Amino acid sequence: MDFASFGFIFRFLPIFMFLYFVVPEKMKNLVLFLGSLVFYAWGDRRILGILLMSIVFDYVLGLCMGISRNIWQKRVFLAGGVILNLLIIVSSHQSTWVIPAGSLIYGLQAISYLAEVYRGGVKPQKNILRLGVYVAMFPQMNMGPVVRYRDIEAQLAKRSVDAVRIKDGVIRFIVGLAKKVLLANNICVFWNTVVAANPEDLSTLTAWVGFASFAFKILFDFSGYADMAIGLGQIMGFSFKENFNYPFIATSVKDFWNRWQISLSVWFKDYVYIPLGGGRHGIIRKWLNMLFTWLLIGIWYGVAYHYLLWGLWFFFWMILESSFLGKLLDKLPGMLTRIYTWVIIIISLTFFAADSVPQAWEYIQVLFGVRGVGLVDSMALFSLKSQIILIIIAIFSSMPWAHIIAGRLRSSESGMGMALLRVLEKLLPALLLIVTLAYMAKGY
Amino acid sequence: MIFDKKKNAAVTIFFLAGILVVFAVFDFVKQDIGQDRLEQLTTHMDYFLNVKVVNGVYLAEEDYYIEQHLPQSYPESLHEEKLLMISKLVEDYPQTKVVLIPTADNILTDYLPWQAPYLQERNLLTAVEDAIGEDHVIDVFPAFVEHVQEGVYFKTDSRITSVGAYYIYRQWADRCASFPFWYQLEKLRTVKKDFAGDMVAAVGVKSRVVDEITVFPHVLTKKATINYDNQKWANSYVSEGKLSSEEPYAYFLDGDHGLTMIDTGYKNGKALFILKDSNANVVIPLMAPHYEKIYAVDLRYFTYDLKEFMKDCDIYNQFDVLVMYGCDGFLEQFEY
Repeated sequence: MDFASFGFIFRFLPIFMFLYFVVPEKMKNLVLFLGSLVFYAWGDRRILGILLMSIVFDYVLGLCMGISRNIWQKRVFLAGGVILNLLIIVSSHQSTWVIPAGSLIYGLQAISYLAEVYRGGVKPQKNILRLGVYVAMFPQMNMGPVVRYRDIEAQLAKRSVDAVRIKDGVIRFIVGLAKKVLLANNICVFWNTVVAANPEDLSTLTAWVGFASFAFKILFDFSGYADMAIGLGQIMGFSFKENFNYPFIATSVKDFWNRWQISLSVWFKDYVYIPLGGGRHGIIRKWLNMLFTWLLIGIWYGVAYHYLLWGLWFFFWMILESSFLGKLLDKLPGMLTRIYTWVIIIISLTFFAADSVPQAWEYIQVLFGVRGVGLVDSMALFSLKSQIILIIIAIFSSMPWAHIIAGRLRSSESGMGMALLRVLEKLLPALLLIVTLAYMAKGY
Repeated sequence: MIFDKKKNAAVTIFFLAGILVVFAVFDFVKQDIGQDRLEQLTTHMDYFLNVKVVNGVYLAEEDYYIEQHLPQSYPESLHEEKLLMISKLVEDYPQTKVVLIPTADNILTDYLPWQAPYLQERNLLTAVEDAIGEDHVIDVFPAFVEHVQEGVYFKTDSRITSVGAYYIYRQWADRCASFPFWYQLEKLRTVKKDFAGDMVAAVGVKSRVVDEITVFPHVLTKKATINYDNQKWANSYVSEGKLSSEEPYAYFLDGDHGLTMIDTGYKNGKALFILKDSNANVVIPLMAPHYEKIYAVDLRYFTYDLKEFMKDCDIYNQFDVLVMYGCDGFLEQFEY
């Protein structure tokens, strides 16, 4: 079930929230778990069996690791859990019925739990319901954030909610929904035209504008779902960490990955890169560890050669930046470094968007004018003009200007700023919601 | 609970009331009035955002909804494939004539958004002329350009009007007929005043204007014996019942059928075999006075083997052959 659907907003969510808030504290986890199962089953009931089976399996493995005193035994248990959850992740790429896209998140969270128990950072969860809530709760199952077990362990047992948190959560959900429906769905219209065409029929400008549209689309898709997840979590008393921090203002590839799907890069750093040794065993080993990590990140996005190349692409630039390029970038003006980062990101998207490696290469050739119908064509000019307002809104929304303006209003001495901010905080979410519902109805 | 135990009942009532409100809003949204209000809002937003194309339809000047045909959707290989096919048809049936009807984006270019891309159909026509010879091609482009202000295209539909059909007929009659039938544009009769065409459905928002469906009186009064797909019979070129259906354009020749066989009632021993798309449905009734029999084939729904069928009907010896498509339909649908 999609968050940005009438079925979720007008049927599932009100009934779920009603039940969640009226039941006693000790039953909230049960309601959340059962609600999550209903959420998944709404799409395909067949997944419930696998989901429940894997929760039981992870629960038993966690307990076994807690009881065992033998390090090798613990490693076997951990390996078994990791393999099972990796199988779930990989099979979800091949067949959406096994578990929907949420299994990509589910698998990582399950591995996070097992890894934390193995390391001794947390005690095995003896309450299977709490474990089930952690790995399967629906808010972040669409597109994250990936929540580490240790960040949420205490909240599984006890969490508090008040009117302010609920209000903030509702606003956050509305903002995320608006990002998805108003921005992502509209800005990708031009990208859809580009991707439907043969690369050789595109001009260079069309390709750049098209891939920029694609970049904004996936930003607002992912960050929109993350906002909705964080908002829903807030309403229920959970505090999820931020998953995006204005990645398009990044001044280097490394900075970009500190801002883009933060929870994902932290997960891979904590559970892949560092256990492999990180940078503690010399430069060659560090590079190998980075290579393996980036290839895994590529595979997580998709099991295909062009995703592997996508991971390799970032590995290459991370290596360069960690050697000499980073120091050079520090000396350059921010605008130049942002352009550099944007070019790297756009090229990476050719691997991401293409169906194959040869097609990705064709896109790259078009981007640099080696192939295609020339530098500029009417398609690019028309699309730029007809989408210029949307592009401006997209750029504004991808920058922290709204926060900066809100901060200035909040700190204004006259009090008018604060009054205006209070009005906007009430008015804007309501207007956003109405407009968003209108666009959802249009495509309903 | 977020409130203490004393307020449990109030909280329960609050949430129940909230659910009722949410369900009521959802039901409102699903109803027509709710949909209308929301569609108006999105239309205003689209105008604010300067959106010029929605679901493959240009929101053009003068409230025209013009179907978008991007050049990249019709690659050179497709052009070459169709040229080979039409050449083969002309080779097998030298009496073949071809009419390619320009789509609105090629004629109403001044109304298109700035730099809006469109397939250059004039080039396609030139390529067809080069492939099969100018003698086999009836060029209606100049007539459409000259008379575009008379309403050859609907504002809300991708197909041609009776006015457009009239100018196609005149071009065809000048080349192929012994006489042009005396149709008078000023005598066109309106049969539907609030026609919202297929482009409205594509955009998803009602246009600010609606079209009228008009027909020549002769088409209304002249009876014929018409068989659709060997299943349905009619005695009129128009189907009144279709005007109130979801597809009012099906008023002409009952819409899209794989095989339409017409006994016109004119006894001149002449016959026409026409390969067509929906645009020709408006033109065929105008051609009726020139033929005793008309076979109209829409390849999208034609289930027989075309070449065998044409042999069985002895098309070669008995029929005039006409290929009449919109330029987009020719590239998308024509097969031989």
